[in-house]
Amino acid sequence: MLRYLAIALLIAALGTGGGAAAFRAYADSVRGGSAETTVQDALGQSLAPQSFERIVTLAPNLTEIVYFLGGFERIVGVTSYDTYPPDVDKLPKVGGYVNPGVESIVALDPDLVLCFRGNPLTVIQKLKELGTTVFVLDNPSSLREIVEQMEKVAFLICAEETAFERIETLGRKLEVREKELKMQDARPRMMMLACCLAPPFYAAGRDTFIDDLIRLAGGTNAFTGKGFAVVSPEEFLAANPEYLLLPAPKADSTTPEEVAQALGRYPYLAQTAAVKNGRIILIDEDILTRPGPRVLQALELLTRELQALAGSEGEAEE
Amino acid sequence: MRRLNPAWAIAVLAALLVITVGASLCMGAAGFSPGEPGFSLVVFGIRLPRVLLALAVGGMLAASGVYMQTLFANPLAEPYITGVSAGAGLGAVAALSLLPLALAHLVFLLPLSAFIGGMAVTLVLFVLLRNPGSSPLRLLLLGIALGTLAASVMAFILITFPERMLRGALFWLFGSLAGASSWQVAVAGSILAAGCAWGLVSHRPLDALLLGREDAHNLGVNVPNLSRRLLVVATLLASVSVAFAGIVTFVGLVIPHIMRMLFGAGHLRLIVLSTLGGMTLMGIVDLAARALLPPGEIPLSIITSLIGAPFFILLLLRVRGGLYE
Repeated sequence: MLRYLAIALLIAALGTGGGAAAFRAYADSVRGGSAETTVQDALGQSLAPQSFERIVTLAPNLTEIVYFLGGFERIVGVTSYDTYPPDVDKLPKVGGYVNPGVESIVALDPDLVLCFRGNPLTVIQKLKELGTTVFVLDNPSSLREIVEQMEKVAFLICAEETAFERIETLGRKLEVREKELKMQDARPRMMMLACCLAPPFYAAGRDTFIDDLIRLAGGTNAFTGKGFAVVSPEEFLAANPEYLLLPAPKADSTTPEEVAQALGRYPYLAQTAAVKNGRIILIDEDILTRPGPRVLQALELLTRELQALAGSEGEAEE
Repeated sequence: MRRLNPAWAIAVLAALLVITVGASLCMGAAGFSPGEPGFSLVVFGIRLPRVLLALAVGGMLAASGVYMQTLFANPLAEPYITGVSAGAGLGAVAALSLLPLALAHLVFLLPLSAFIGGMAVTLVLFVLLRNPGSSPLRLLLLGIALGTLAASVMAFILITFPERMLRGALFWLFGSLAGASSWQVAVAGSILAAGCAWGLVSHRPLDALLLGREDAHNLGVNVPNLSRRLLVVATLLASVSVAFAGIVTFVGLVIPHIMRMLFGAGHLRLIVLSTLGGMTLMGIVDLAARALLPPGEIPLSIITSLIGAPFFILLLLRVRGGLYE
């Protein structure tokens, strides 16, 4: 009975956005030993929470999540794409995010393999067949969902008490941001170009967490396609974004001015307000594109940049 | 080029096979340390089904290639020419887009859908062309048209559901044995054995078919019937292979040619040697896929071409006479 109450509480909390607190109540009820509760993954599989000690993470954002939860020393293997935290260099690699080696994973004798959408289904199935515990997270479509995923992982690996507090802090930041947004009138049109300074240009569209990030930062996504999709020259002209957001590769010192210049070579981009006015925002790609805890940093950076640029525009007009 | 003695070739290929299997069982990221915990899991749970599936897939593709080239009387024919790969890919992609990812039996349903997709293309081919014995060229062109159609539908689904596809697309497009499992080995092994056995039993009519359809008919071969069976067997072999390993290029095209150049076009030898050759090549290719870029894996199709192409070109340049002049 308590179990159903806890689940109902959880669902209500997630639904209303009151997330972390209720989740803790839920977690507490479980830790009290009063109920058998499980966590469900994106493939519909239910797992009982456990203090996993040998975790392999098959995507960089998963590593960052476990690190955020204070469980970094429990990680025994990561992908070759991982860059954060810096100590991740010392961990064994199990291959790429799209081509991890089953054997490399099994060789590390993990008690939990955290997977993300994009990891091959065949590898996931093979790991399960071998009796390895696998937990799969799906692509989140909002920042709220990222926080919820972190709660899920925290719960699954029986993270320390303070981890839930940290998650709660993130959730509260989002709530505060939502309230601030209600007081803001102007929503500048922004587009996030996912890669490269040459066509085809990919942008983040609806149902991506970047779409939600732009909204929370106070903008409105000028690209209305679904998922990450190619933007045609005509769509650029029609959308006429006032701001362009781009991931900045590590150790790349390209300035926003240089990016504006590079994009200006394409007439359809040169005509957009963003390129004309040099309103290019660059954010470290690892922070911007990984659906993990640092996406909140991206939100703060983007909000600040947007406000600063809008402010300078106001001055210029005066 | 002097024809080589097939008995020696069979012995050499068999020896190579044993070495490949041995190496595949011993090599890998987890090392080889008997007695350690997890040793039998790695060797018998991961490496053994994987190398056996590699052999079965290689054998199926090569045997399918032999049948396709005989059926179409065309050296460019390969297992995927009738749109089997595109049909199988379409089946898998359609299943990925329609079925919920949480479905428990996805592990069986995906290969099954790929298999159904591959066979469906052949079925359509039959319906369109009541008498496949009539014109190999027409059959070939129809197959290519159907394959292109299936590939377009697949691409359309891929751009309509980009989010759902990421998981499956890479596997179906480039081939991988990462998910090899013992039930797959059992299915693939049985299909391979049945496909080869049929060819060996029918090697005389198949040889007659090489002389041309009219001559074969005059020799008492029921050409339409034989053609239909060839198509079904070849498609079956290719579909099962795509279902378990994704699209693996080159093996089905090249292995039969290599064996034909070295040992002649008689089907009895050709089927045995091509199957063995395909098995050996795939065994080596999968070993390379695992070992070249550790700890990750390389898609199979990249390596089949890397290993197969130079050897094939060398052979083509040295061969004089026969089919290849």
